[in-house]
Amino acid sequence: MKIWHSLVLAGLILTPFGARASPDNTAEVKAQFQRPGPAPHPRFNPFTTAKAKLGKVLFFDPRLSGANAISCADCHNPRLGWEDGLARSFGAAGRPLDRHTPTILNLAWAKQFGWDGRIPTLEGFVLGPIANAKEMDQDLDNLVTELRAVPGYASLFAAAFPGTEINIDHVSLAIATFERTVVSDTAPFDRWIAGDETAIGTSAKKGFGLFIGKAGCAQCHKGWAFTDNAFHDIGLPSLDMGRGGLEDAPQDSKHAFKTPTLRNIVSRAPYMHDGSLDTLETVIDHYADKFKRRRTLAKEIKPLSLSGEDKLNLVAFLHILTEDKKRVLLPEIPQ
Amino acid sequence: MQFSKIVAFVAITWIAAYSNAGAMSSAGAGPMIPEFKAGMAASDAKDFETAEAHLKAAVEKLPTHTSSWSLLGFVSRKLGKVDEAFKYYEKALSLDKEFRPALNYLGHLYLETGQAAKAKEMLDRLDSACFFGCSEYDDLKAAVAAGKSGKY
Repeated sequence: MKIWHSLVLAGLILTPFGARASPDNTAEVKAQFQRPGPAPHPRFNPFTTAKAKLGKVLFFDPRLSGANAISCADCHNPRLGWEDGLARSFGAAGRPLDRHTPTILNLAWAKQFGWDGRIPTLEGFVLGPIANAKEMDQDLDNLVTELRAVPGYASLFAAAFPGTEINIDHVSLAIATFERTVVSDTAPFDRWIAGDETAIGTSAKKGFGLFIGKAGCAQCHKGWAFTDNAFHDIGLPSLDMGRGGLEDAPQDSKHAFKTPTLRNIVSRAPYMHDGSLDTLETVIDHYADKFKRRRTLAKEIKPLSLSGEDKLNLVAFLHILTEDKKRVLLPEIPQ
Repeated sequence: MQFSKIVAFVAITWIAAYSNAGAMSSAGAGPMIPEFKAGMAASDAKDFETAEAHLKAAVEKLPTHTSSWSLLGFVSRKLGKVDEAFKYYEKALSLDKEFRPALNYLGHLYLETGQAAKAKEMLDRLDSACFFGCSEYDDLKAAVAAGKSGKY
């Protein structure tokens, strides 16, 4: 008997809505994790190949920093799940930043940007780290002057924004267009969801059962990208107010941070908004019983009784969210 | 009447008339119809879904109601409906190209969508629209400066 059906019949699987799965709703559960269609782009910044190409070049170009020393890709490294492997990155000033570098994977489907969701569009977000003195410390007017002086950029900008002189809007629109093309590729999990029972092992299947059932992870890590794109206080001891620190903070948003995608999670250690947890095992231990109890703690978080085997199965499941080997070709930086 | 007093009187009258004209440009963007009033109250209470419904009713009833179009843009922006927000602000500005709230909020929307150069254009238009300065100009100027300094 297939393991999926064994789990269902054994009553191990709960749907994300709390109801026990049955052979009748197995297809329904799987449907919730199916990959979406092409990445959406906003009407005010529609996709063009030329814009995405320019955006990719800019993303990897150290000229975007004030000292021409670091590019966006220094913190969002494709080999590290578009993160940097550090608890907190060091910006232009050489001091640790306030929060862990988030991945740029699957941002095309996001609604609010940053750990606290302060910016409603990707275009509006991308100039922030470039201009911020702690991060890339670039004067935006100088950046435009610099880019206009690089002969190799003239044709790239002309193709992306015909008939206009290079300006700062082009930089943000192009980088955002490129970032929307950064989508996690097919993983063993996707092949299993699509019906290939041999794509993942027994332990991972059991882990998935726990993930959407007893462990309750899918209450927030839902859907194909494993995020509800919402904000929760997950009980980390950090004093960072998160979304609650915004000027126009929503009620009960203290210590709330955006649920990150779990795609390629194995490549993205350390974890959490402050990079305080080094391994997937410590993350699971945190959710089991190491979280800080406080008024704003997400209601979804409750002490879990997980055996050692349960934890191993959950980790096995998280491993199968890693995309099949994909090589990101680095662009040639114009001179 | 002494000549200097006449000059002062004319100047004060002109300033008063000009300031009033400026105010008319913003506040005189339509009568206080109930749908707009309800939309404004809901928006102030941060109930943006309700505000959106009232304001859509307002512009259906009175398609030239600039304030409703402008506030509908603001409410749409708060609801994350960026493309719609652009459309509504542009509609407001097509009815009154110097409508200060729409120039200000469209500037903010440009900043929120990574278009700092266009936001600066809105600031320049506000500068022309507010001959003696205005809160909308100050507000957008501060936002443009914050964007340049990497506040996000």
